[in-house]
Amino acid sequence: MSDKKHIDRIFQERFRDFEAAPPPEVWQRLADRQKNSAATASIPYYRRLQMAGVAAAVAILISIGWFWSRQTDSNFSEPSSIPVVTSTEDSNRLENDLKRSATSKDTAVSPNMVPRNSSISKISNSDASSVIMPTEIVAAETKSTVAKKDKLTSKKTKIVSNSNSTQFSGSKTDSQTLTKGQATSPEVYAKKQSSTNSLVATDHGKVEMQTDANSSKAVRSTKKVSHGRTDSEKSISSKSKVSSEEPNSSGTLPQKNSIASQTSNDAQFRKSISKTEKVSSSVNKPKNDVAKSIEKPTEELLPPSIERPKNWLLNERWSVASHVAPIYYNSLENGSPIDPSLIDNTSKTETTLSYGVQIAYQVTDRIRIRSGVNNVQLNQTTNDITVSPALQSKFFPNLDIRPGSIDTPLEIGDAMETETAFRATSANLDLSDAQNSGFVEPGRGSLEQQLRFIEIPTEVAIAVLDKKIGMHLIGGVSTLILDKNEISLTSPTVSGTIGTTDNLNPISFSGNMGVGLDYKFTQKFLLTLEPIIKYQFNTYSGDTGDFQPYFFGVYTGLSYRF
Amino acid sequence: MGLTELIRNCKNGDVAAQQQVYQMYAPKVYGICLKYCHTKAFAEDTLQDTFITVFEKIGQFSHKGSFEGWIKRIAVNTAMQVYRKKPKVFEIVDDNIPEEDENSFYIEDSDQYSLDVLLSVIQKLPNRYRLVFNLYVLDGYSHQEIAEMLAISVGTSKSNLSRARKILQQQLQSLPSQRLKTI
Repeated sequence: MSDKKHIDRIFQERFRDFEAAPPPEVWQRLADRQKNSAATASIPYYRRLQMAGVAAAVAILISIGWFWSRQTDSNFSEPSSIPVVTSTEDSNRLENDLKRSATSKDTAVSPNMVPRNSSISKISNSDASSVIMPTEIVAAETKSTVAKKDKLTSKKTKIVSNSNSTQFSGSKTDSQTLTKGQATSPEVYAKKQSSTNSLVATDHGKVEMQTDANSSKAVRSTKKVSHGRTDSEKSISSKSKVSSEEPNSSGTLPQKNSIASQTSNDAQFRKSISKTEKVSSSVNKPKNDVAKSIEKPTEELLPPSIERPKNWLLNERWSVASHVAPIYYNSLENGSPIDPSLIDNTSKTETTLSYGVQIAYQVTDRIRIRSGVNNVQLNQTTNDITVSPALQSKFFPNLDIRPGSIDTPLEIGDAMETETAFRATSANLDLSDAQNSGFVEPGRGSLEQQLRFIEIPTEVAIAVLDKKIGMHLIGGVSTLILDKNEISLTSPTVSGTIGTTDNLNPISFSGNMGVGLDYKFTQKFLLTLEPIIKYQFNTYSGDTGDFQPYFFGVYTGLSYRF
Repeated sequence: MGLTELIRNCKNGDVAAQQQVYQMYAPKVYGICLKYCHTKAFAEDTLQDTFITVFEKIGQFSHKGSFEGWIKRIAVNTAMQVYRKKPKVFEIVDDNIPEEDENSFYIEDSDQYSLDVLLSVIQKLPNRYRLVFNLYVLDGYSHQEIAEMLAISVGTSKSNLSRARKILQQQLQSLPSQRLKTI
């Protein structure tokens, strides 16, 4: 027997409580995925934030280090290639520099002083070995130079009175000091350079000739100078010869040895200085000529930054700025600022505006701290809200409905949940009856949350580029003071501001990170462009799902330094 | 272990608890997936995506409704997303077919249409028709809701349903009787 049935009924009957056994590999794939994600998820988000912060800090430090090293490299490589000048003037300058560095209190200036001190104080050391000294070694040497200044001065007086030294010329000093530089690390050097082609000096300054031809040349040139010391040109050429032979002799020295020799003890350092002084005192007229002819290129080769007051920024430490920014507001994860049950609902945020003023203080030539006051507006609309008339008003617990804002009692709820209940009821009924069952479909609406904060940022800006166009990295925190808290309902029946949400903290914080660019119209007026992301920490109290709000702004403004 | 405790353990990322939840609800969810998807492979993917979402969002389950209902809702939404995100998989369907008289959809049923047969004819429906038919006939959604979910008009939803019924009717009536007996 067969009877006729509505096609819907046939399917409904068969598919009622329809279940099917899923293939086992689905769980396997799922389990693998869950195990992998469990490892990540087990790290709390604040911990992840901290890790991100540490990573950012490391990145910033590396950037600074990189820029710093680039700058110092360019400063040091030039002095190291300067020909040796052993003149009375240089000796005087050395002494002046020693005094200056010893008396200098300004740490910001000291980096500028380092290249000069090192280049001159190691005149007799570094030139021979022609090895660029690493920054830290130079710094160490400068310190020792400063510390021993007084001793050196007294030593100098003694050496000047030494009559034996009068037989040496300026270039003799070079070769002497060349050997001195090597001899300062005798153990290491002897091992590694047992068959070396260099000059070896005795403690008394005697020059011994090795079998190597290069060394012979060097010594020959030295002798030549010592015999014809009135011929300044010759002495220069011979000196440059010595220099040109350096790669074959001392240039083969491993850098370690060179460094070791540079960081030699006080006695060795004093010796090298004393030799300079010896020559200075013994050879007067011809050496002055040599000095003049060499001094000029030396001055030219010195980096101009050494003479320029680089820390001009520190004279204009303060700056004021005003800025305005479009604000893009969003959440890292799904969540709802109104109620956890609205997590699955669609939402949209508005692009709003932030504006404010800022004051900054230049701590060093690279670091600036700053604060100010900003006005920030953040709007978010949550859709799929049901609004239906009711005997008694019923709404989300976090909503604080303002008395009088709604004329008639309303039930405000989640469309998804309300309609599930509606479906659950209608599903039990015959479908043909469901449409006549008297259920009234609730009207759909949306809730807009409008927040305004007074933001007080405290930030550090680290300059990574300070030219006509500058770049700086920005990091810091903001205190957000809640200034406006409104909820607006938009629905077919009721629209308007209905109240507030009571799950907002009056004071909250944000972590800020960004990059800034500036264009200097003049040294005082700057145009700034700073994209900054601000992650809010504790804006909401209570459960908001995974709502992790942040806002991103591109702050554009004008800054004035004074 | 009670359901509440099971859910709590799932919230803490306990994979064993998650497996238990999966074993409890996967057959029901897979049933939904088979209805809404046009192939078995799509259904398996949807099943997996559903439970990924369930375990990700389980912290948001507030025990206000039934856990099973919550999971089923996620399953339907996940299945919908497959076709909502990929409009290319929508075939060209005629949205302007006039609604037919309800009486024309009565067919003879002597318990000859097995579940497998019915499932296969549903899966062969164009995607939009299948979604509308499932949502309206099998899961009790209204045309208004379907219109919002699929971003179509109410009229289109009704038209699609009518067309789906017509196709199903033709398919079932054209099935060879011998094949029906073997199933």
